Amino acid sequence: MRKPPKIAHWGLKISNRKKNRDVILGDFEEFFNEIREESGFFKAYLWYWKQTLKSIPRFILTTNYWRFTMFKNYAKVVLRNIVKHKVFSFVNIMGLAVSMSICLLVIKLIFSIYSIDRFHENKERIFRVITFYTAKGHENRLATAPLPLAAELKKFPEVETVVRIKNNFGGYAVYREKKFPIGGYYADKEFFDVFSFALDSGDAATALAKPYSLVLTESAALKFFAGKNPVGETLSFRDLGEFNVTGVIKKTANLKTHLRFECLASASTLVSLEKQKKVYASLQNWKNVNDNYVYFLLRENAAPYKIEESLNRAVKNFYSDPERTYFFKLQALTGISPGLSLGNFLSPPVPVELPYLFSIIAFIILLIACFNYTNLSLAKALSRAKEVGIRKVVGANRAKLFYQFIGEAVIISLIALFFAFLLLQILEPLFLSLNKEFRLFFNSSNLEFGLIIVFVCFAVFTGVLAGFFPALSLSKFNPVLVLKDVTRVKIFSRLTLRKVLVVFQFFVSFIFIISTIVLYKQISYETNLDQGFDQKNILNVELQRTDYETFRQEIANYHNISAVSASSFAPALGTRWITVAKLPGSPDKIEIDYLSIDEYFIENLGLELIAGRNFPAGSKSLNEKYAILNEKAVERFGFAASGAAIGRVITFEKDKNLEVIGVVKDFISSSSSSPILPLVLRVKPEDYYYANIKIKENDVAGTIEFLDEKWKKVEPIRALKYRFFTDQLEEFYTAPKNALKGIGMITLLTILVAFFGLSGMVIYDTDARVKEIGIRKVMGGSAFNITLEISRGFVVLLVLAALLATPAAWFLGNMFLQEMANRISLGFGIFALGISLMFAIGFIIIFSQTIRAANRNPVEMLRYE
Amino acid sequence: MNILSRADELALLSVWRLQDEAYGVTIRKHIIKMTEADWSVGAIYDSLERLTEWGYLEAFRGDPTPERGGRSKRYFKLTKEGFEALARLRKVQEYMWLNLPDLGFDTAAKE
Repeated sequence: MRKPPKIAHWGLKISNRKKNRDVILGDFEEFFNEIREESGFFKAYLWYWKQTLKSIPRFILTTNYWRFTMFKNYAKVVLRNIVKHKVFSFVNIMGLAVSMSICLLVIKLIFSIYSIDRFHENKERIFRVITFYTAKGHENRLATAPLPLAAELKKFPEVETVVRIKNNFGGYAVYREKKFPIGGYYADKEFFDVFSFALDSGDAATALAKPYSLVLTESAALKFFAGKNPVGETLSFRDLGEFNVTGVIKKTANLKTHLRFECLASASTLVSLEKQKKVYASLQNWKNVNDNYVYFLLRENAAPYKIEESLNRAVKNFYSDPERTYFFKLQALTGISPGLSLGNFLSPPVPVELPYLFSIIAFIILLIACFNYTNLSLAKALSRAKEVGIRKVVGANRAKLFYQFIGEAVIISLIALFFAFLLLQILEPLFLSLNKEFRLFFNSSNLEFGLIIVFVCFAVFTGVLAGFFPALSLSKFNPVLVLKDVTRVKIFSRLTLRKVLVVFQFFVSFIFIISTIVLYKQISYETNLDQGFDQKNILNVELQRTDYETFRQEIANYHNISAVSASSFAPALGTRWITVAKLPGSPDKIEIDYLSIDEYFIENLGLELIAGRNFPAGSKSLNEKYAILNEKAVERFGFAASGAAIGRVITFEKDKNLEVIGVVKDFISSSSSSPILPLVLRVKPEDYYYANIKIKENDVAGTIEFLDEKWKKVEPIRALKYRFFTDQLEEFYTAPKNALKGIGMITLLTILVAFFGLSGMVIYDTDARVKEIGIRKVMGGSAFNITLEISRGFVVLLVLAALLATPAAWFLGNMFLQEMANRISLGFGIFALGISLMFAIGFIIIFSQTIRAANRNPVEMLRYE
Repeated sequence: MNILSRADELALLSVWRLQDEAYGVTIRKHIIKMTEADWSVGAIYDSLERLTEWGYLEAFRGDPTPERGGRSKRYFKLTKEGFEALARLRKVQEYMWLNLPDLGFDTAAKE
């Protein structure tokens, strides 16, 4: 017997209540069979479908009739309440919207963070070898690994493909008349087997096979070959040679990766480059962990951590120095960013803690806004009491009412979501302007469908969170009590809850505001700290391994240049060079910072010699003989006084005996957030990295032009790289300054939300007490006294919050400042400032409402009594 | 007072007409025959459900039959309230039609 269509049958089944389901299905089948006998199966089949489609809406309506009706009623009540209590709705929706916009930003950010490198097809099987390199007891965790390791890895049966990558490929590339700097990596041809970069043109399997092959990204290709297919063309790099373009990598929207390159050169090129000594030996060098990376693709179902152990065993023989040990670990591709901070990274990874930190801050702000809703809903609970009573009498149970009130909160939070989304459009660019890194991986343009779902789910969650307490307590009302005499319903317990919530809101606001002030003061303190040297008008020119002496001779006599010196790094920019030293006859090795300079440096930077003398002229050409210490170093070596240090001999490294000829006053050599360290000034020309050129203020542009001209003479290949020292110092502080901006922004929004809540509460409370105020006035209370009386409750809450927040903020502030070497003292002034700021805003809100209420005409207030 | 909709009226009258044979299939067939229009199963069922809920109809299960795939029928019977509702409706209709200016067609012919 031929059956009715299955899907239609199923549709009928689910659209009817269990009770009558079989009867209806029976009716349908009877018709079906009758028509089948009369006009055949096909007609009956069609009839069944047609009837099903026509009937299902009716069935659904019939079965859910009451649900629809009640839902309509609920929706109507919610909308009426929103319109009726305008202040309440405004405060809640705006408060929620502000805090939700921050949460949306955080959600988006987390989405973006967790999409880095997730586009690779084999992302679960890609690993990187990282090196824990321990030298003299100090462990360095490096993202790099020696290249010969790749050959060892290939011997493992669990390893499918290995790819070697070497950083720092690039320079000025020339194509006909076009010349641009581009940079990228050297990579093996397996690069495209391991990573899922698609080629627009060229063959992925062979693109990186031959030496001097080059694969460009789309944007790099566009620079040189606008519109043309670059495959087969030649790009020449002045330092490295001619490269044949063999492919272009397709640009797609979600290409977010920790591998940042404009072009890839074949790793096989390295063989010839190493022979010509154009790059530092790395192919067979087990000790080069500077800029080489080893990635590999694991076979399916293989355990990666077994390899780790045997790999370390296999390569043990290549290292003999017990002072320097190498331990290799495997890092999953998906664990790179967000992930551990490692040295020599290809791009700075997002710190693992960052998503958590952001989530916590966002959650706290969300909580504050939810508390607004909870508070205000409880405050106006009595106005809903009659409704609850009637609903209960008519037959609603507590669960139904609970869901109704939760539903209300959810609707409000969905409305808030809409405004939050609008706010997000303002907040996002503001936030992204804070950090360059964020912009690189942030997904700002395309709003994925999944993200929208998450947003909506988040809004529903917020609604439930905000509405839980009010729903619980509103649904509890006893109908008999409520309908008999509303004024006798006890709400005292809820009053306590409300107070706790308000205190919490202000507690958080206080902490935010005080943290902002502390951070602000600390940063301005650090930036204005006397660094102990004079950075004004100094131009730091990167020497890029050209001969300093030749360059110096070219420029030193120019009329707009007042001094030229050399140094291994520029002080106070976070750099440290460390060596070991010991006093002759003493077994203690001392680790100490050193800065390599020439005889002009001390005068050029205005360092103060407090004992002894400067390096004599011509020290550079001599084999190193002298050293100058700073005061901390004098202490560190245990010399009695600066004068006593002069003439003493210190052994540096293994056997370099240097005589101390001078002592300089302490200055900041590494960074102003760390303490001043013992430092030795030496003359090691091979360490020179910068030429520090002091220029006169007139005609800066002309001076730079002159420098460029002279530079070209000395160094025809590399371009002149210079920075103003003041700019460099400024830039060193942009990260903390941007953090300050971010925290300031969040503080502002938090306070905004808290004060939305406070004003709502004050307005409600004064409204609820309108009759009391009227009676007080009639009985002779002055407006002043009444204002005090009704404000008292709120002021007490503010003071309580301040009292609780002060020790907490003090604790947090101390914890932060402990990390700082040069720190501000966490004085009374900071707290006084924070608290008075909060009180000022709080009092304006409280008194503006209470004074208004106290000055109203009692006739108006008591008219209906 | 609740005035029945036309669908409800048709359903009640069909149930009365069909007497012991009044269940979903026969009711629908009867209405289709009378009105010469196609009524969906859902529409009929909707009325029958509502009338049962209002107490104008009484429903009881019959025995399962093979042509229904082994499912039982749901028979309907007019209740006292159903009769009253029909009577009221009849009265309303009669009042409405009574002493109308001439519509130009012969109403008696159909009865």
